[in-house]
Amino acid sequence: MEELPIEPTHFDLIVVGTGLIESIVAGAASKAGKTVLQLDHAAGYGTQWASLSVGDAQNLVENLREAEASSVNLEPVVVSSSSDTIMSLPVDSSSGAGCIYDRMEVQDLVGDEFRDRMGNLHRYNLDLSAPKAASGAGAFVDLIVKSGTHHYLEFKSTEGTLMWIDGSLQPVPSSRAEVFRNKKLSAMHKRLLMRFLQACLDAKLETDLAEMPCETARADAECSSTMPVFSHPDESFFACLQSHKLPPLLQQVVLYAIALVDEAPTGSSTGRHVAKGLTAREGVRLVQLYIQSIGRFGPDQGAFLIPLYGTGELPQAFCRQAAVGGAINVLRRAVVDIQFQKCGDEAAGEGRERPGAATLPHSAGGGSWKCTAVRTSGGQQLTCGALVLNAMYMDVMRHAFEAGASPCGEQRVARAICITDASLAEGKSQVLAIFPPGCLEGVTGGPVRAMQVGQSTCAAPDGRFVVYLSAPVGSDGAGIEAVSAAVTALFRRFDPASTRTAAEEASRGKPPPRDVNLEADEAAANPAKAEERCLEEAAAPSAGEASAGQRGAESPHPPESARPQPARGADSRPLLLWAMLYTQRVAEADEVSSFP
Amino acid sequence: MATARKRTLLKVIILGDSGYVNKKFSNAYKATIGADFLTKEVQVDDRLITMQIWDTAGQERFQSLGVAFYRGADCCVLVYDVNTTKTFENLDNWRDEFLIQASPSDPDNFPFVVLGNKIDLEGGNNRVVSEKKAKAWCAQKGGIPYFETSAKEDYNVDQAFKCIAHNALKNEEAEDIYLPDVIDVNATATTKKASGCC
Repeated sequence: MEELPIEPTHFDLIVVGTGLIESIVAGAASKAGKTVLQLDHAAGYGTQWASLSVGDAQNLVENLREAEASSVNLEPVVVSSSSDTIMSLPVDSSSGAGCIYDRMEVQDLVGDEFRDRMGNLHRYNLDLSAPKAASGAGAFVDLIVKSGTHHYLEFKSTEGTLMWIDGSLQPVPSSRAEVFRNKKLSAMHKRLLMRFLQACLDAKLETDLAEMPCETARADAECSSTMPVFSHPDESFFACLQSHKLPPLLQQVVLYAIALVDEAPTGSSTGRHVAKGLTAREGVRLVQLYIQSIGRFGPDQGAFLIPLYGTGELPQAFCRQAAVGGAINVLRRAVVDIQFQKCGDEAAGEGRERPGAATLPHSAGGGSWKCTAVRTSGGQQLTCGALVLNAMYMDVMRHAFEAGASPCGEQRVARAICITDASLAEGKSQVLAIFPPGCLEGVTGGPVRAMQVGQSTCAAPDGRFVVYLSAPVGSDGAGIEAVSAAVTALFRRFDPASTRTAAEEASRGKPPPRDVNLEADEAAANPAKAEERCLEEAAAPSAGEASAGQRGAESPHPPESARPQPARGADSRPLLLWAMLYTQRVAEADEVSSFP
Repeated sequence: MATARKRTLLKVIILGDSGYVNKKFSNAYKATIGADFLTKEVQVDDRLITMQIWDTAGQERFQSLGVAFYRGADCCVLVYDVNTTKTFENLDNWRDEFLIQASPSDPDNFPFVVLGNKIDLEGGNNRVVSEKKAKAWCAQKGGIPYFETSAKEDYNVDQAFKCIAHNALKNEEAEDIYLPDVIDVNATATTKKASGCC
């Protein structure tokens, strides 16, 4: 197909990439009456937000490997004439994803021989970049409604939250209704938790206080509630939890399953899961958001909304919105270089504060540069008032404009995508599972969050589930270990050899061997240590009223004791069929906490 | 799991060369939601059906319609301009594109409707694609219903949409469509905030 020239050739805004961020910018600019052009080198929308089939995901890993091998540093070319100085900066979209992902590894456990175990491979919608679950009462849902993009999107809510306690996943009370229903909590702990949640809900935070007329009224309001949730808004959230006398297990529930704190514990693995940086004000706001999200969309709806067909739908909705407003979307059109014009000194140093502004300081040449044009793969020159680039061009821009500057203000997230044959929670599909820091033996990173989706959100074929795990990497790289330990703890690995044997044995009428988990770090699945920690501190809620028939209650060592039983009580964890592990670079810390 | 509930809302997408054709065409209806997203109510037998009509919004110009646009379509309307040969020739591409992107479970029986539009232009003197030729193409593709319309004069448009709704419903009965029970983000967003907690 020949490259149809784009008309007109000047735009107020050119957006390169169709990821969520670029698409929201394009949609907003288009709605505001700007002329907008949005380009993407790929054949589909989403850039790194695109939802992929299993094959596409595998290809991506291959392509990245090749791109890395052939990667060259592209140098900017500066041409000066009497009137102005033009710099043209070559960019290469094909190696761009390498800037985002690292340490990618696919574990194809079924192989081609047992591929059919995974069902229809085209029915998978795998989200590499950021599997999203939006807080029902959060800003993103408001954005979707305000922008009108909800016309193009469909959501389902989460159905429950589980937490890794005593070596197995157990449902945790994540709303007041669930606190009532929970059979394991003692009456006293129920009361404490309820009172805490209510106090959080009643607390007036600075956003509300900002509307108060004067300082004294604000101070009054902060202390006026019958039982103030915190003595000072800037105290640590952990201290606040302690002051409410919540037992350690309930503290973990509030921190990691309700407030969804994703800070790794500071200090070593002393078992103190302290989010020191988090103030009481911030923590209480997170709890409020959670409670307000629950039931916002119906009595039985969970706190988080998950888009049908995967996160890749989100950017498409904003792209369509942009198009409706008159923006031009062009796929399969790469940008090969970006041109900058040197500006007068008066503009210097201004650009960085304004998001999307095209002026940037140039450390090598000095002065500042304004982006004026891009050139497409077909050689067409398109001029623009402003340029927005996908994050994959981050390195190229840094290389050109901040020579010598070390990468800063960015984080990595360790992720795993697991395809399994059974749900983590029977009868449920959209489930959140939390591994509090320190609950997996020998692993310091975390917390690890896992989000499961399945056929009901069109993320997987019938009877298969996709579990997304993530943890902030941290300076010591601990998140990577934590994620793989969590994978080991959650799933049995599919083993072709034993499957063949099982088939043979089944034909002879013997029960097949159940436990095929022979992973080296089996220790992670061993609950002994974690249980020690949880039990000694919180005997009451987890084991005290252990009448619910949970495995953990019957025996402190579920896997071992269950093993001799031939059929159901054996290792009934979901079977891991396919997995992909990697780390992803996120530009801002905010993005880490946005999942979910 | 899969629930086959009767649906009263049908997603209809309009495909064809040039947004101009489509814009002109869908402008014949009152927009009830947004500029791009029109609804039309049609009586089919004893049922009142609401059709959501999705325009390509210009994304077709560079063949840049995303998979989300095609998803869940109950009927695909292929439009061409009887005064431009190229728009007729491209019907093949659009039909193929739809079948690939939407990947309906029974592609051979998916309901398409073809509309030859702008028959009123210059009193029909500029016409280059004959009705016979268009009908032959439709027959060859498994008997796609064909209508000649003039969006400008509002000629034949209602008949066309009745047929579209009828065929889409027929398809629904044939296919046990999986309809997930989704959340209406908007409806509850407006009535929320009464009580924060359960």
